[in-house]
Amino acid sequence: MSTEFEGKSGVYFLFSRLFREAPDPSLLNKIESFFEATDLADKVEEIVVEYTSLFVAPGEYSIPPYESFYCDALTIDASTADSPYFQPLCMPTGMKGFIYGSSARAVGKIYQEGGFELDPNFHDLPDHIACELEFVGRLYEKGKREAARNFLKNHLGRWAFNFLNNLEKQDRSVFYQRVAKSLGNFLKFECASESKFVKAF
Amino acid sequence: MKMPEVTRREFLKIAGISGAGILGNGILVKTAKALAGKPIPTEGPSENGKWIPSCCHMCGGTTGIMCQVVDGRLARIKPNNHNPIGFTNISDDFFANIQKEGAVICPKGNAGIMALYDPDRVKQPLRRTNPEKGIGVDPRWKAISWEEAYGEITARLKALRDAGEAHKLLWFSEDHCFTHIQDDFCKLFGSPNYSMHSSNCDAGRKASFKILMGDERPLIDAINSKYMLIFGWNPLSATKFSHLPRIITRGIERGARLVIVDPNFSYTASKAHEWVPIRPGTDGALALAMAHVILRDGLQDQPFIDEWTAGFEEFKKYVSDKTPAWAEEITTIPAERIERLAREFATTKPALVDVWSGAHHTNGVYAGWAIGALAALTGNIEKPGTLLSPEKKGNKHVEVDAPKISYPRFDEGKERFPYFHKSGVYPEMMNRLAKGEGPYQPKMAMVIFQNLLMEVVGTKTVEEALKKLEFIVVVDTMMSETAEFADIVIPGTTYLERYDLNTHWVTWPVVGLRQPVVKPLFGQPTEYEFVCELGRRLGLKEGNGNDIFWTGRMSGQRIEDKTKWYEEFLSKELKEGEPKITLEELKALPGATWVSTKGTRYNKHLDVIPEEKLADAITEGNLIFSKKEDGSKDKQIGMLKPDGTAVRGFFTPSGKLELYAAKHVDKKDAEGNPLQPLPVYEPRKWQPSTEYPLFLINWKEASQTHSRTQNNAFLAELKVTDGLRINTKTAAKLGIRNGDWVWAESPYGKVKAKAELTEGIHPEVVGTQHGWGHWAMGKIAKGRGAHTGFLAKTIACPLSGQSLNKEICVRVYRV
Repeated sequence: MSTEFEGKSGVYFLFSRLFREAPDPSLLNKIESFFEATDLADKVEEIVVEYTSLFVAPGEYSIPPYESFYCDALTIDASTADSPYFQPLCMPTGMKGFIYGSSARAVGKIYQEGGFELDPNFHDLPDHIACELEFVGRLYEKGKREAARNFLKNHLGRWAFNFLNNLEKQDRSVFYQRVAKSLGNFLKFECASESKFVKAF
Repeated sequence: MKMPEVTRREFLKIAGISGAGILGNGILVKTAKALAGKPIPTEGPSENGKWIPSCCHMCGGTTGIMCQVVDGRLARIKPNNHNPIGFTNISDDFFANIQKEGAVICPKGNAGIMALYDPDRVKQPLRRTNPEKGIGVDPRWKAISWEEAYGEITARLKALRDAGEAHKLLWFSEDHCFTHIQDDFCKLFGSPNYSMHSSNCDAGRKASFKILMGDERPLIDAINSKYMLIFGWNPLSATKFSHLPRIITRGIERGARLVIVDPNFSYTASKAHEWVPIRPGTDGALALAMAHVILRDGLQDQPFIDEWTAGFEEFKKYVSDKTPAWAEEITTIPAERIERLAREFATTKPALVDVWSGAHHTNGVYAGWAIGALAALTGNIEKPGTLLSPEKKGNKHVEVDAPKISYPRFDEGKERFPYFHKSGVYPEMMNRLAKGEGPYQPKMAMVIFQNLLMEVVGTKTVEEALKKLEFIVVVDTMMSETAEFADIVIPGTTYLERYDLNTHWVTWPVVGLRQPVVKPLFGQPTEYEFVCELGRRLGLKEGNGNDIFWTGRMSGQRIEDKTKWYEEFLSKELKEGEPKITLEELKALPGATWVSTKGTRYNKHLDVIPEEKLADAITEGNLIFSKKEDGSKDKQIGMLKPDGTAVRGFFTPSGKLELYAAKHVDKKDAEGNPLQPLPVYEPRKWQPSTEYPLFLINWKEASQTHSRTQNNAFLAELKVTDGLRINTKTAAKLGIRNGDWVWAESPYGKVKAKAELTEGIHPEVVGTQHGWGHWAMGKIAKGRGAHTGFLAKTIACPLSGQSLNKEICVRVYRV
């Protein structure tokens, strides 16, 4: 396994951790210089609340961190009713912005095929950004470059930029603005289409 | 594209952190060898693509549905052609026609998938970090673990109980799901304060019909009717049990005439033969004047009256001066129209009358009684095409063996409200909390799937009330306005993720099963599992020592798995109830619906009581009661006719339909005023004034349920009547144009709404669809329409405890 891939998977694991749950003071101490911040650990209580309002609690600040929310359209089949009173024309087609769409199931299957399943203590959905980031990290960790590349192309890369763009624009949390900017910058190179990808890191 | 060297080095620095163990365990764990590489198994209880029968719960109508799960996701919902709720309320119609015609579900039922996959669902337990509570105050949530949530809630409950203050727990729940286990929990915990919704809904109607016929919820046999006179109800749109549009329109196809009495030109009024716009709060006067005409012209069914009513002479005397001219003054309905309606109603057979939420005003219970009296005078009760007492036998609530609680309810409803319903008096509890009154001061509230701030009238009072509580737990799928006042929010489950048994809304015994069609999305416990877990952690036991939250009710064995434990709980209710089958047997029935073959029975008051039952009964005067185990008097089961025959009759103090309620004499209501023995008309208390000259009302439509579905993306796409409807003539006087932003202001507050000019509302009235005006709930719901609760006084009907949602006066002016 190449150290380059190890380094790369480390970056994915770190960002996955930042989206998986709110950070603790020791983690904040380690990363503050990278995020051009100081005394982050002193702000941990505030960052926990920011994390919750952005990614967990519903409300005006929430930015759903799911692939399905960005990529999947919910369509209700006209065959919904057998009744002669039913008017299929009134059924919605292609509404976006829901969770647990086909992407969630698709990535769940890819994890399974890759030999992984979600920790039962993780009470969230398989297409959560933290899961997808960790999965790419795991693939690189195992040296599965092509698989990682495919997953970026077919899943993470399809929506992460929209999500990170929203996260960078919000004004609830400066810390997560920086996380978004930094991850966006990293993924930009990761998702670049040139074949020199291997050398990219 | 190559990453610049500087950037690369920066990222490498943080990449190093992952090796230091500081990131903790990841989310992805290695799959057991045997499973690796194999396709992921389908989640949920069914094989891929199979249709699973269940019952809807987008509202309390519990209509039958079929759900198709494809690849672990709910893909489709369609009507369940084995459950009558989506088709009819009469068995003959059901048995003959449902397979031919097919059942229906309403827009809300169709939109269930959007509720399940709503991105604004609550996902994890949340704890507030901002101690300040108030409307618009950010709770500053912090996500916490399940263990932390359970730990803290249990500790709070335990502290209350250990201090001898178990009664200071208030418990609010929805009324069509998992009610029994919550009721059991409260009894075993020691709180008398289990409450469920009805006082915001039809407690008033329940009282009216209880007085008249001893039944709280008669249902209309519309499909067999020839004349339907409906007060303050919009059954073709505010559908709830979704057979209503079919049975009413089918009745019309078969020749019935439909007359709608409502200040608002509702969707139902638009399909009726006649719309009778009436001044709010005066329905009782119209009914009394109709009774006057019927009796004056001898149009009544005298033999029926003689045999089956009590107090006819008193009633006749009372209405002798309630002339159409008298009612015209009060109702604004021309006297000749009242004459005609009375004649049509009395001479067309069979005819039905009904009233629902329109009567949420201070004269509401008497008005409902007066309306029901029209049915009694014309013999239009218990016959095909009239008003029927349903036979609701379904699953049975197996009562727990709990010690008697020595404290009264916080609302003292039983002691003070003569027609108190066991579901509690929400407005009274909010008033008492806000003012610090009552027999004691509650400290904690569990709020399960209830949005008190938007469902109890007088939002500012509710705000003050909630602030008085030391600790609030809200269990909900959505971040409701009330959830924003919680100390801990617990993610609830949608009806597609859990069990329930449903027995309402048809006239003969039916039990429909609601079952999980997918697993709870976020791995959260269902509400019954949550309550069970609390019961276990608190070590609640029955009086006989039975470890009730551990012991399976069928097997008697200790059951670890809470879902399995609850399945036995439901099996027991089915076995002890009418179906006498297990949950598994119910699941296996077509449409997972148990339908009694006995069918709808008419004229049940004529049922002769069997000899053997009579032998084991207690007779007092002309009334017959069953016996409790200890030999004391239990429920009324019948009456003795003058010829000595024992029949069922009606479950009133006279055994008959009561036009005069002798038991009201010398009794008082919750405000200390004498109860009236006759269905009197009295002007509602809050009348328009120079300052607040307009009546304000609200109503429901098929597009939404209460204040809980407004975040549904599909339903938000439907036509939304969230504006304030104003009569064009009234608007012209006020200088308001269509689409103007206006303020509606009362002494209690003001709300902004878009003016919707129409000829379809009484000129003295403005109104809007209830449920809009959210300031939380989700991104779609928030900020649309107006919430009229801010304009209302927090007041309960002193007879029934009904929340008086429609008794508001306002002035309206341009913003």
